[in-house]
Amino acid sequence: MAEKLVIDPVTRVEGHLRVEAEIESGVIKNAWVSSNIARGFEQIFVKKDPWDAPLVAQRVCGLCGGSHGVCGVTALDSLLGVDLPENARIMRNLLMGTDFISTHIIRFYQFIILDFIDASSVLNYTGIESTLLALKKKLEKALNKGDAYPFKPSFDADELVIKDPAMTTLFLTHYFEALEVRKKAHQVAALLGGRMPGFVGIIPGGVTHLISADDIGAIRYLLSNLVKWINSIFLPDVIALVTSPLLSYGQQGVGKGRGNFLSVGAFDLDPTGHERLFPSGAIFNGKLSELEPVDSRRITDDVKYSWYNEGSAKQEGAESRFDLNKKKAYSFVKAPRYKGKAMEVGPLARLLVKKDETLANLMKDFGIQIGVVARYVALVIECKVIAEAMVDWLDELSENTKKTKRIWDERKVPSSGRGVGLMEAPSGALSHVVEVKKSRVNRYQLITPTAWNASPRDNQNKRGPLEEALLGLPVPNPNNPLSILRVVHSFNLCMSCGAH
Amino acid sequence: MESRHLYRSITTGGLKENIFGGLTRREFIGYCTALAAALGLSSSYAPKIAKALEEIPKKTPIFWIQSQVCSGCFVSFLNSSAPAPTDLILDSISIRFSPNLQTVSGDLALDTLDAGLNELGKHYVLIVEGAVPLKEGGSFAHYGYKNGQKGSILNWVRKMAAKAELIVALGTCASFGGIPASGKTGAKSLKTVLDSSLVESALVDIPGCPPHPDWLVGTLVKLELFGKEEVLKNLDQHRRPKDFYGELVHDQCPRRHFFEAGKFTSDWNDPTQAGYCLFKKGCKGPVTRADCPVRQWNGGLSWCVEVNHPCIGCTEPQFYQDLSPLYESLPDVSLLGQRLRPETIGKVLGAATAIGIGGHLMEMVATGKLPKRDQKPKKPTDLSSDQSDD
Repeated sequence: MAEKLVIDPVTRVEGHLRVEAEIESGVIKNAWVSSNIARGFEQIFVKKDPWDAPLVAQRVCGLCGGSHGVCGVTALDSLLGVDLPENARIMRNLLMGTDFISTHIIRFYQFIILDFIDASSVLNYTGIESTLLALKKKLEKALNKGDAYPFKPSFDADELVIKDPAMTTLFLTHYFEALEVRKKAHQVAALLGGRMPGFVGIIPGGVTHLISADDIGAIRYLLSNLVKWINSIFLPDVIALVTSPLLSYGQQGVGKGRGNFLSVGAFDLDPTGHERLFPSGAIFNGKLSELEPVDSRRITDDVKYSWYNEGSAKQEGAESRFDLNKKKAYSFVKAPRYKGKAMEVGPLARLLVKKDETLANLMKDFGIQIGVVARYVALVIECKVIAEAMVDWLDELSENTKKTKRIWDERKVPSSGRGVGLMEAPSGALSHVVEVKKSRVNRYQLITPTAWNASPRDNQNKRGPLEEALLGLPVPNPNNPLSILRVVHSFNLCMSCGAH
Repeated sequence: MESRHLYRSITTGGLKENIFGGLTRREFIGYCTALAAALGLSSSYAPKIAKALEEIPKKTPIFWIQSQVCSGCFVSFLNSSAPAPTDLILDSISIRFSPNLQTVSGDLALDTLDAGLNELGKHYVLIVEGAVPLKEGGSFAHYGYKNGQKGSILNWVRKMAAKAELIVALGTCASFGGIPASGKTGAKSLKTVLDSSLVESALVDIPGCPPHPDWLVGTLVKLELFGKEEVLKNLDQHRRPKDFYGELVHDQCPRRHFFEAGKFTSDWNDPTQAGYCLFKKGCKGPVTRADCPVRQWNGGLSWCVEVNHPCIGCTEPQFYQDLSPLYESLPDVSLLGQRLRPETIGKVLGAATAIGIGGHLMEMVATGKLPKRDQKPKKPTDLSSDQSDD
């Protein structure tokens, strides 16, 4: 007899997520993921000045808003027919990079790692490392007072919760270090774009500001700090976690899903956009060697199970008129599909499409299968790749500003037209499409990474990637959903983006 | 900005040698001085703050409810530099409920709300991030599934607000409706959905898209050090703390003299214009109250105008819809019976300043203190009306 389990709200994600699962004999037989909160963003752009769109788009998400801003401004560039100055291209890449670094660090240390931590285990730490002892002292006091929020209350420890008190204490120490270190990524963004979150300075046609030599020096300093921390703390932490307590979990490929991956590519490395740090490509059914080129015209956006009116299966986003009384609908997230398939997007998809060697070697050496653990590994490798690339981009910018100070290609907004921005945000493939009539926005469509990953069922009644990944997952005790949370958190969800 | 200052703020961005280590007496006083700055107080308050901090018996319990959010306010909070988020979480505040941080999910997470209500009496702070949608019976924001029943955010907010010592509407969405208010979900500010008596007795608006971390943390510290009455007695007509929102961006702007001199940026490519006034690029500084030019962002490194971008007015009740188009200059205003274009406004104000009334006059226009007949504002930005969001 199937038992229904509802987790609402799922915490340690961005935004509002609800997971519903049907459990039979301790295993998930069916699953539904949804968002119960919407703002109706696509309607907010309508009738406004197209120039406002990138700034408004940033507010879709407070975690990866920078990428929405850059994606939006790229859509505007395409509408205006902009010839983007090199300085602006590099500045925008750097800004977007800060978004990835900050987000990836939060994902792992604030959202994921607590799925493997029992904070009271810190009390059993018997080592002599002074930082760890200082944390132990603070947490001991807090635990004794019953005031160890946000770490307590917690779910009962299962077999995957880390047993070694030293490792637990170290990870919790890094939880706090991560909180402090990620601010440096936002400081880089502030130097480039005034402030973060919500940086400014990216405008249709370019950027508003060319950074000074002083700022370049400061950014280099901050980036070197970040690269050092990622290499000496973040990477070893993930490797230690996945090769020791989680080794067999990773080898089982828990939370695999269908094995369909999509990347639309990101970080143009030359003016043509042909060379990108992350290339585009699609993989089906886990056949990693068979990489297909991406044809964006094959992207559809279904709403059969979403609270929007029909008129769907159109390219690049369905109409977003709400219909809250729709039968069978269960989410504010729509169901984007590529060639009719639900696709996983995000760091793992990007690195598989890129055929990243570090990821491939780690997976091969430790026998890690595609699934939850592979997503953690991809998260940290990508963070490292981007931080190191940013150091190079800074040099490139420094050189280029000696040649030219040009930062803006001024163009007029046409009375009518259409522009497309297609790129990767930290959690995966993102597209913004703007349509203009009488020089005002007539339509604005968003397909976000989390709409891909946390989509409900589509017009063919097929589940979304996360729903699929939950199938067959053991849940020995329905009162303890830790095993579900691990799979959910591995998808790097931004539910505010997802529903928008 | 001097590069020496820049490096200092970067290197001291909250990272101590040992992030959990206690502070020496000297460091502690330095910390209290930084806190005083975050509070908008002079450094002479540092010893008083130090004394109060040493006497604080326990952490402030906080419930952080998210409604129609992007979580940008939360992420901005994590950027707090003095005190650092580590110190806040371990020493100063007790975040009992937070969708972003909390370890437990589902009913167990919601239980912390109910447990708090039972256990804490009135001693807790409710932070609400995001607008609250009222259309369709609040169905655009469902939350929780306790005992098989769906709850609306509206109910959670009202339930938790009823007993809170202080209610913080964090961000422009919660303060004024913000960007969601121009959508179709009936998104409203907190002061619209709460009883007016509750608004009067407990609500503080901390707008900004996002708000600077100091504006929130400073308010929380002030509550803890000096009590609720001190916080509530220093609010403006929109319930924003005057400590942070007391002056117009325009009046604190380091580029103000270019405005007076009529020097405006028109071409971002022209290096000679970098540093000019951005009024003609749509700067909303003349109608926006916030201390960004002085406080600066991300550990004191920069702010919007520093990178040649106009202020977008994100702390104002009119943000976003009524300040759009963001890149068009504010509507013409009439001063002293003369109708002015941006091209000439600086010159006239320059002359006005010479007789000592310029900035004040401009402020009166901006806040609607000048009689309406003296102005001809055009839609959508209505400078004459400083009305609240509802």
